[in-house]
Amino acid sequence: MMGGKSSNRQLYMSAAVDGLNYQQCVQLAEMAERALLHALIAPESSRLEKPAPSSPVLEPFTLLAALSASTSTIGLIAEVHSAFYEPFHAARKLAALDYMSSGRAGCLTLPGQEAAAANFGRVSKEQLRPHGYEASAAVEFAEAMQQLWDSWDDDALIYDKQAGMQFDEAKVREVNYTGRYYSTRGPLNIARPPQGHPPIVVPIRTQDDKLAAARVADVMIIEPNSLEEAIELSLELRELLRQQGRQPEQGRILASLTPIAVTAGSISEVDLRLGTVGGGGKTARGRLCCAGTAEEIADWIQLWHHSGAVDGFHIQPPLQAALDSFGYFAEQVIPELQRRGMFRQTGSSSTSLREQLGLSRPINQFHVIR
Amino acid sequence: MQLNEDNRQIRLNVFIHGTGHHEAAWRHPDMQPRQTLDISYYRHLAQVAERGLMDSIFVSDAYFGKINKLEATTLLGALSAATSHIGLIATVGTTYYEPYHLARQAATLDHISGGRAGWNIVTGSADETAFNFGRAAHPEHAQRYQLAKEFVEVAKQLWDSCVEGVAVNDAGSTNGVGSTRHYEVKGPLDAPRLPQGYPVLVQAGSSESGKAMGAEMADVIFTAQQTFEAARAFYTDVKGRLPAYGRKAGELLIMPGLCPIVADTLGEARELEEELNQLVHMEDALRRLSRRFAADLSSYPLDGPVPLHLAKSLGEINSLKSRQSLLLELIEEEQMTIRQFVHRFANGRGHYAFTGTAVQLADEMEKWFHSGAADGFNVMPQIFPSGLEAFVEKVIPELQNRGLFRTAYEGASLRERLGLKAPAQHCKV
Repeated sequence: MMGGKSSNRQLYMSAAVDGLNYQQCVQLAEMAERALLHALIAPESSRLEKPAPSSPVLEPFTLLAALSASTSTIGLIAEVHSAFYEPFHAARKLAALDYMSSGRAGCLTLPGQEAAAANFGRVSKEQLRPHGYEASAAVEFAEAMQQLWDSWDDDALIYDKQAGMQFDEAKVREVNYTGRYYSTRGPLNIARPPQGHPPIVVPIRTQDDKLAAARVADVMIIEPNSLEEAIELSLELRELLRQQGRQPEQGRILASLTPIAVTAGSISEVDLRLGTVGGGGKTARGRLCCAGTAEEIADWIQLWHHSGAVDGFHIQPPLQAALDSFGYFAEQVIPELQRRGMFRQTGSSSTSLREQLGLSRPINQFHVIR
Repeated sequence: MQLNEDNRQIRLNVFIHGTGHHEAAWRHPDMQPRQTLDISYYRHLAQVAERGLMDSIFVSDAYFGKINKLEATTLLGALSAATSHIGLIATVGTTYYEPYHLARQAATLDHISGGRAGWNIVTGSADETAFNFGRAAHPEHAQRYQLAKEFVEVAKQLWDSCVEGVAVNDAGSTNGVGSTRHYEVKGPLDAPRLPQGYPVLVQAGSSESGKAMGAEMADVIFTAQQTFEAARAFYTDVKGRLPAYGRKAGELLIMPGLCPIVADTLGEARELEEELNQLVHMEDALRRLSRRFAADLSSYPLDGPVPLHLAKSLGEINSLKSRQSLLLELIEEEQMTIRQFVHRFANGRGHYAFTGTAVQLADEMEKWFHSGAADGFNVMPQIFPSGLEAFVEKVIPELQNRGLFRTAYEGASLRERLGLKAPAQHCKV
């Protein structure tokens, strides 16, 4: 059996905080936290190359930093497009976010799309960096960040006032990461984050993404067309994880899902057009939708979760009515899942996102066991 | 020089920096240095500054070194949610950044704070920064400033690509094409126009290139000046450059650094200063200061003169150039011993330090303000939170009594509060 005894398996939930103004972001974050969701994911502008008409995309790190002040337990995951970013900058922003939120930071890495490169152009050739848009570049990016986080031992900060020593020199190091796309010397100019490594989230869209995820992902987000496909995909992902010498439970698999509320007698035109009432399926825009009443959506989630195919769901409310739609999910569907004993009813005693996801805290890769 | 218009008031920024601007602050018995990674520590400082009606909070940043520091924009993002009036000025270095990211980041901070964002433009001061970004070498001074100027130009074009109220749609405008000698950025920025149009632009380098850039494009200049005379010369110099760029004197605020140690009596203030100076780690301080000399200062007697003839020339250093010359002048003028030099540098790293009562400090500030040396001050308390609390509780009321500082927040945005013009949108629609 794929996922062990299904009744004991935790159901993990994250939500996208997308296409909203700041006040709405705060509202969504507070609703998500009240509903005991595990994390929020702030997308990098997927419209980096082509702005959407009316939905601003707030820069993820700055937004999540602000949200860290209005929430206290929910995870805060920032999307980064590695082709246009520096591991050193991202690693320190994540470390700062991790400290400010008491261990709630995470990073969704994507290589980024070549079309967006026009916003990051350099005229002089010597300034161009050898960037890649393939999954292996995002892997390198994540590995470089992890090495930078490990440039300080957990106990490097000593603040010995008597001796006048703020940190132990022997416990802070250059990492000299040299990859195909990135190199960085380090050390990072902030101590090792509370979580050690804020979790890395990898969306699975291509074959290369799967290989990338098997190496670095703590959480994988899949976008299957059907339950059968989800089952097949997770078998493959878990096998790839094993091949990398990792335990399958070290990589949580979430299916991206757009729930559409249908209250009795109010089936909207949209829902009918999607043809997904009372069930799940992919929309024309490639999103997995599930439309129905709270009970029906809960049934559907139950079916998927019990199949062992997924550890949980990443909720992507429809952009047009994100707040209302998410509100329905948080206030109607989540309580239904709780009634069925499928979703946690009390928050975790730990604020660490890693701990909430049941992931272990990574040991420092430079820490030589003597 | 008559600059004393009736309603002109002192601008006050607080520079939040670790445990304080005295290098030994972290060793003070009251200090818990681990707090510098804790948001509640910064929240308290921000709220004290806001209680004091200060204009803004400023945090510095750097991309190298064995130091322990929260990244500036992320920190201010969190503080924006904990404050409601005070400006939030984040340092972002241009040399290893993307204009597009900076523009989005500043836009986001401006939106979530309701028009309180500022950007301190720096080019990075250390050669080793390059290695953290896979580059072979840190560009030299003039090259960095050229890049920075273009970077700001591109960022402004991106902010101009935003339309009031809504994000630009792709069918609409052709704004946001930022092309300079070194950058090619298509745009537009995916954000509604910033409440302030542009964040308040701050420039903090006082070298020749820094002054030129500040005069051309900054709204505020932070500068390190050791004496009133030096500050006045700097002020006159920079303000004198403005007409060449078609700018008026009031369009650029000059705010020298001020490291106050304030107590109810001069004696108490001196005790506080002495207490911190006693905590300076002499070996470390000498090692650090020796980098500015072609000699190891620790091999010279502590109470003997500073070997000025061994000081490195400006050509031999690639960073903090302006700081080097002002230090050397001061050492010579005051005939400092090595120990005095260490102590002078320990409080504020070469900024103007003042120890005394609130009345004495207010006198000094008033003199600088009324005599063409400052539009305001970048306040750098020697130790947090007590140094800031003392400033807010003792000095600010004294300035208010003299009609030199606001008694309530006015204006909707940081830009407005500083009396700066909203940037005109160069719309190309």
